[in-house]
Amino acid sequence: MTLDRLPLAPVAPLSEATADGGYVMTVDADGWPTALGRLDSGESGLPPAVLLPAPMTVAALCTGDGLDLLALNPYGALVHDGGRTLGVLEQHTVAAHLVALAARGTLRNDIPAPLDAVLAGAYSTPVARVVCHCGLLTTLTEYDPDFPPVCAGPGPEATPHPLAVRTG
Amino acid sequence: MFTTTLGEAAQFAGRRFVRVALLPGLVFCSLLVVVALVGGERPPAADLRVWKAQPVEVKALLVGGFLTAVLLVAAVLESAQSALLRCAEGYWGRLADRSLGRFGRRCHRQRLLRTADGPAQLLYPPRSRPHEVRPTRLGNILTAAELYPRLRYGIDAVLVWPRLFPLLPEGLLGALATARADLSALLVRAALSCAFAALGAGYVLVGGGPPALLPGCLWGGVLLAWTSYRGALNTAVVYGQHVRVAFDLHRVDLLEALGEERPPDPEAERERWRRICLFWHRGIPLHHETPPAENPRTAPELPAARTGHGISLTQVTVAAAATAGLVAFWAPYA
Repeated sequence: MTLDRLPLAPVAPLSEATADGGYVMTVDADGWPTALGRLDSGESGLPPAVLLPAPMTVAALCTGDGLDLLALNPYGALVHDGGRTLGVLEQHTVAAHLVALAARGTLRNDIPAPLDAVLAGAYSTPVARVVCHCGLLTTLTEYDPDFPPVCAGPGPEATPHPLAVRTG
Repeated sequence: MFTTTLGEAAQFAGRRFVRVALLPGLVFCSLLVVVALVGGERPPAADLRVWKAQPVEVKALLVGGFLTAVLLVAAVLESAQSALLRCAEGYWGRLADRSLGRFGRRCHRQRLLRTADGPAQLLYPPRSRPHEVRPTRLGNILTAAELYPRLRYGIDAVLVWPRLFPLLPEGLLGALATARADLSALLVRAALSCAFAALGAGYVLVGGGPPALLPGCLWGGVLLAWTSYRGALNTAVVYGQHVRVAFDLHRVDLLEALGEERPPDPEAERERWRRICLFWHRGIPLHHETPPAENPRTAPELPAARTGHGISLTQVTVAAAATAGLVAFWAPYA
């Protein structure tokens, strides 16, 4: 669904605004909206206007980076089509679509949990077959380089020696 | 506003903890309360009168106690997901493995021999590895998925998976998470149904409740457990496929993350993964000298498949439950 098909609140230029509490906007010399708010915004003035193109879809708005811009204006954003302002897309309208999209996303794809990073099966790595510096082939289930196992092969002076894995 | 509320409710209900633990725990506790009310010697109307006569504070305490029990059951289910999955896969204690496990493995080895090639690849470990057959169907489906990377690439899937998982793209992560959550939810449902069958039937038997309620609890619980388990099998096939896809498409990403060059050919890749797995699992230095080759091994000779249908553990359980229900129902009239 594109933005122009959503319910949009009417907005009037500040110079033509009446005291009925509706939305008002200010425009620059080229006719582009610069601020959006209500007449009773007080001394703080009108907050900056966020412009959204009418052909944009709701899904693109809710999942894109443009969503962050909506924080600039507490009332909503102005939907424009070729320079013509169609109306105000209010915050609660966007919020309703965000909730609906988020719910669909939650049901279709869960957020990964720590449990998902672990397979429940057993390790299949076989025992290691390594060759010591003395030439003896040994099988190992683990190797600690700081506390290597004793190699049964002929070492210097025919004494047992720590296993030193020969590198290739 | 209604759409927003419905959306928020759907978002809450879709959360993994709610789907896997809280809702099943709530239903389980509620059904036990119903059986406790209906399955005793006193008629339910008497219990209702007692409830109405209680002061508000006592009622609030009882309701609070019930909700606490539900949360406790949900918390236990949440923390027991891994253990439940391993139990359903057939990783049992020594005694159970030597008795039931041996029976289950024998049955499934026979089924492996009879299953056609195509389905067998998804449902069972390869015929060249009969020692990998698990005692349960779920165990065989997941073992088949875990062995796939070993067969294709020389990768120990259980060892490598925690390292590969963080590198997977969001879409595949989401699909894996959903499949795993669905699998957990169905296994939890099956386990709670079995527990309900045992507890409900036991309470009715001891409490002297209506005779028809005992087989109702027993058969209803077993039927729900069986359908949930069958659902879990289908979900496990889907999950297994996602695991295969993850290794097929993204194992090279893991090599790049480790700073390894892309292997030039499949044999070099197998050797690379062999060394990496030995280093990770056993601390063997990566560049150790390649030892002389062992005597080449061949696949074991497979016995001819027996004719007739083998009996699985599930069938034995269902038959036992059906018999127990019939005996308990007819015993008062005997």
